[in-house]
Order: sequence, then C-alpha cells, then structure tokens
Amino acid sequence: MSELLKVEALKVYYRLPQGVVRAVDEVSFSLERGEVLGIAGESGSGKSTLAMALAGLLRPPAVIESGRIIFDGLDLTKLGEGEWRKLRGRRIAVIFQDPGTYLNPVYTSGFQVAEVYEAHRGGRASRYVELVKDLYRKVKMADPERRVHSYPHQMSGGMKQRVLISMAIAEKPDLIIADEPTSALDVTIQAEIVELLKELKSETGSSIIFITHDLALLLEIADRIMIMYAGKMAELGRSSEIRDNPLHPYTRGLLSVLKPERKQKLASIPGSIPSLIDPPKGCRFHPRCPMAMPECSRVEPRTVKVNGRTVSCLLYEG
Amino acid sequence: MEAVVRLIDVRKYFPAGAGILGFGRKYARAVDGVSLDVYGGEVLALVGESGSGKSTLGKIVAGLLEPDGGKVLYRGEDLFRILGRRDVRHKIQAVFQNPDSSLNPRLTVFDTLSEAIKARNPKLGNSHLLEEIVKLLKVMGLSEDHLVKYPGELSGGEKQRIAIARALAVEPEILVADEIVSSVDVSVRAHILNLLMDLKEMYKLTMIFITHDMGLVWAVADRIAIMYTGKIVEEGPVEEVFKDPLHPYTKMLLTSSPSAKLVGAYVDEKFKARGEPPSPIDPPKGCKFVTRCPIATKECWTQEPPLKPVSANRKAACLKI
Repeated sequence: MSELLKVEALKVYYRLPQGVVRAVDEVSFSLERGEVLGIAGESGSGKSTLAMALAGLLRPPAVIESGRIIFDGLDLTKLGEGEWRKLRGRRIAVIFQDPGTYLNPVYTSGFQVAEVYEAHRGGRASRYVELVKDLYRKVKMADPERRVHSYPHQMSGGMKQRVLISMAIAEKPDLIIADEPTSALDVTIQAEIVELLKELKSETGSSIIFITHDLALLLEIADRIMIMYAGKMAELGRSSEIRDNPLHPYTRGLLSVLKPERKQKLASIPGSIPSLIDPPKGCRFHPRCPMAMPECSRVEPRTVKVNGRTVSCLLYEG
Repeated sequence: MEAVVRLIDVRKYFPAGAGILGFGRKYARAVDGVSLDVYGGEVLALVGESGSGKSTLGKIVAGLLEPDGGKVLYRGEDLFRILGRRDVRHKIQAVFQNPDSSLNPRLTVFDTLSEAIKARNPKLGNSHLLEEIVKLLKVMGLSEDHLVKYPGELSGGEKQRIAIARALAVEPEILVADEIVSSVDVSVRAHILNLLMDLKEMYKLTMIFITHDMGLVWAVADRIAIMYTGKIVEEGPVEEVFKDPLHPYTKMLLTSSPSAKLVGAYVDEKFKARGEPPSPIDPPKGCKFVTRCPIATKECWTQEPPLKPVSANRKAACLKI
C-alpha cells in the first residue's frame, strides 16, 4: 500500500471574541490508499473541524494555524478556492450526516447528482441521466429508473444518503470523507449503508475517513481508529487492538461503557468534556482520568509509539 | 409477579392527509393493537426504530396521550378514568430525550424542583422544601450551587439530571424514560444510567425504558419488547432474546447493531439488514415485516401473525415459529 494522505502537526483554531478555541491541536496521522480510517470522538473533540479542514471547507473564524495536509504530494493547506473546486468532488469527496440539508428541495435527486458531472466534465446535466442511473444501481437504490426523477421530500433518509453517496463516488475519488454519515439513520438502514460503503471501497479502491461518535460502529468498518479527545489525538491503532487492548485511559473508559456487564454498574468517566478555550493544563484528560499522576496536570504528553500504535499518555512515556 | 400496568389491545391512529370532506381520510397506525403487561419493579425496554410507535406507546402509558381503542389498566383500574385523582396523578412520570424542550428556560433549578415537590406536598414549609430539594440534588450528584442556575447555564447531562430529579420529586411508582441518554455523550451517559439504576432501587421504581440502542438494553433492562410498525413482534427476558431471538425482525436488529455485537448478542448473516420499513399509513396486509423478511412465504402476505406465547416467559408474532 502507498500513502495517500499525511497530516502533520495540524492546528485548527477558532478565533472568537471570547478567546481562541483550539479545536484541533497538533494532530498528526497518515492514511494509506484503500484504507478506512475511523476517527472517533465525543462532541467538542474536534473531529468535525478536522473533517472540514481535510475537505477545505473551513471558513472564518476557523483558520489553519499551522501544520500541513499532504494529499498525494500536494499541500492542501496552501490551496486557493479555485484549486479546491477542481479537487473537491473529483479527488476528495465528502458525505455529511444529514443528507436532507445538502439536497436542494426544488430539483430532482437525479439532476443534483448529474450536476457533479456537469461541474467536472462540462455540458448539460441532462446529458448524464444514464450515468446517474448507473450510480443509483451501484448504491443499490430501490427502483433507480424512477428515483432519478424523485424530489428529496419523496425519499426516505436512507435513500437520500444513497443520493449523497452517489454524488461522492461519481468521479471515483481517491478519498471519501464521511462525517457521521449514518448517525441520523436507523440501525438496520445504517447497517446497509455501511455494507455499501465497504463494497464501494473495495471496488473503487478509494480511501475513506469515517468520522463518528459511535465507536462500536467504527470497530466494524475501520481498519485503523484514531480516538480524539478535546482537540488532541489520544490514541491511534488497528481496530482489533483498540477493541481488545486499549492503551489510553480515555479509550478504556469509552469501551467499558460500550461493553457493559449485564446489570452491573457501568464504568463511568467522571466529569464532562472541557472547554477548548481554556483546556486543562498538562494532559487535557487528566481531571477525568482514573489513572492520573501528579505530573499529568503539568506535563503535556507527547505522542509515542508503543508496539506500532500511537498513544498520547504519560503512562507510556519512558 | 403482578402487572402494575396492563395494556389491552391499545390502538392510536393519527390522521394523515385530509381526504375529501372527511371521506377517504387516511390514518397512520402509530400503535396498532398492543397488549403488554408491565410488572412491578422491573425495567422493561421498549425497543424499535423510528416510526415503530414506541414513543407513542410510552406517552400512552404515561397518561399523556389517550388511546383511540383498547384499555390501559393501572392496578386493575382504567388509567384514563382515574388520572384526575390526586393519589394517582403522580404515580406515573415521564422523562424525554431532549431536556431543553421539557425544562422551562425561565425557571431556576430551585423553582423547577420546588414546583414539582409542592405539587405533591402543597403544605410543605419553606425550610423543609429547601431541605427536600437539596436532598434531591445530592441524590442526582449535583450540588447546592446548581439551585440558582437556569437551564441555559447547565450542560446537557446536568439538564437531563434535573429533568429526572423533577420526575422523581413527586415520588412516582412508574417512570417512563424515552431515549433519555440519546443526546448525551458516551462518557456522561454511564453516569446518568448508573444514577437511574440506583434510584430505581431507592424508590422501588418500575421503569419503561424506551430506546433504539441495544447496548443500553443489555446494560439496564430485565425484559425487552420489540416493536415494528405499531405492533409488538417479540417479548421476553433480555438475556434470552439477545442470545436466542425468535422473530426475524429481532434477528435483523441484533445482526445490524454494532453495540449488540459488542456484548456478544446473536448474529446471523442470513438476517442482514435489507429494505426499509413500510409506511404506517398503508402497511402490508399480512405480517408487517413481510417486505424485508428473508424467510417469508406466501401466507405471510395475507395472514397477520398474532403475538402468542412461545414459552413460559416469551412471546413472538411470526407464522414461522
């Protein structure tokens, strides 16, 4: 496998009147071609900001403070909007949580998918109807002949997500960024969409960055998982390793919530997620950490490699 | 065990589309003939996907929505007849998913809780009132500092705890909890669930726990009832249903659910998810699940399977069992 994406010490800050929100703070990782990387985190972990940065969709007050995003040799942090327009939708595609809000209610779904071709290949959208039908078949839309003429309100949430996935895969992108793509869907519909994404991935060889708060779901779909907490990477490793042998105390906490013993007290993580304007000094997790040591409130942990995994925790430093 | 609440063939239809002069009006069958016993002191999980009717059923049990047909009995009496009685009104309380829409933004925590306590104990003096409220906050893992705060100043988890505290302030016997941790982050969720289980012991509560998350069912519930388009398709003890589900929809639900997989529930690729639920306005004639069922045969399209006992404590509604 070869490397498609490399993120180096990325910092994305929101400069607000109340202060600077360090939404993504020195995050580094890489992504292989054909790999599914899961990014898990709770609200305020910075996972969606990271997604927006990777898709070139950050708008003020969010700015890339420093760091690099190298995509196939190209530094994405240096691109202007014109260059992004050529890249986005063709080589990097995005799927968001609530498909309804990304579809225009006054155009048919098929027309909106055809617009992707129009934007990149020129000509009128109507020329691409047959291609759109092919796409609908590929995403296993029920009754594709009819659905290209359906308006968004005539479609269920699952169908609308299939429309968005059609748009995303239309130009066979190298990278698909999926930000909570199934969180608004019922679990049986989610299972179908996840199955579909897996199939499409093995067919097109696209890499997928799958972002969600649902770690249980990531354990099924992702090759590797990065756990984020309060703008920092807590841990990064293969899914099976994260599941069977989590290193970071935060990951351990999350997993014990997800794997409850029957009718026993759930292992809970005390406290709540910190403000990113004034995050705790030292390790950002230390006020909630059951294994915190005195130095955790002073020393910010570096990311270290432990048996091929990456973890940011003083327990594993020297 | 004795049933505290007994539902007998309960129905709730909502009008959908006007028709012409009332003719040809269609109805969405949100709850379509549900019979169910809720036993004293148990946690009954009511599970289903959106549109299954689980929330509507929860509102009916909580006395917030009157059914169009059937009966809801509370200790043998018709709930909707006796709901006005002071000794009954407080017995059943409900907490919902979004505390923002159930807490009054212009009342402080003190005001919210004192309103509830006074409803139960109108003659309570001010000093005792404060004492009660502080006691309640302590139980919820909150402090006296929260007394003067408005909902806007609280985190999501804190707001949900205030909503639970308010429900408990009137000393209910039955608590209907509808997706109460769905909007709360995972790390905060465990805390609220632990609290709820402690309270259940402390107040000897009977709980109807409505959720779509199978992992939560495993963690907290004694029994599970699974709904699909307005009907209960399977009912039984959680361990048994998770290990050995009977209804094909239960099998599909467990196979699809990542959180069920993590606790070692039944998985069978044959029951991999497919299709979408039918419209509640115009459902199939026979079994409602027939359009998605991998083992359906001809008679499933015409014959509606009743929910019937399969063993001493389990029921299922499927012609193939």
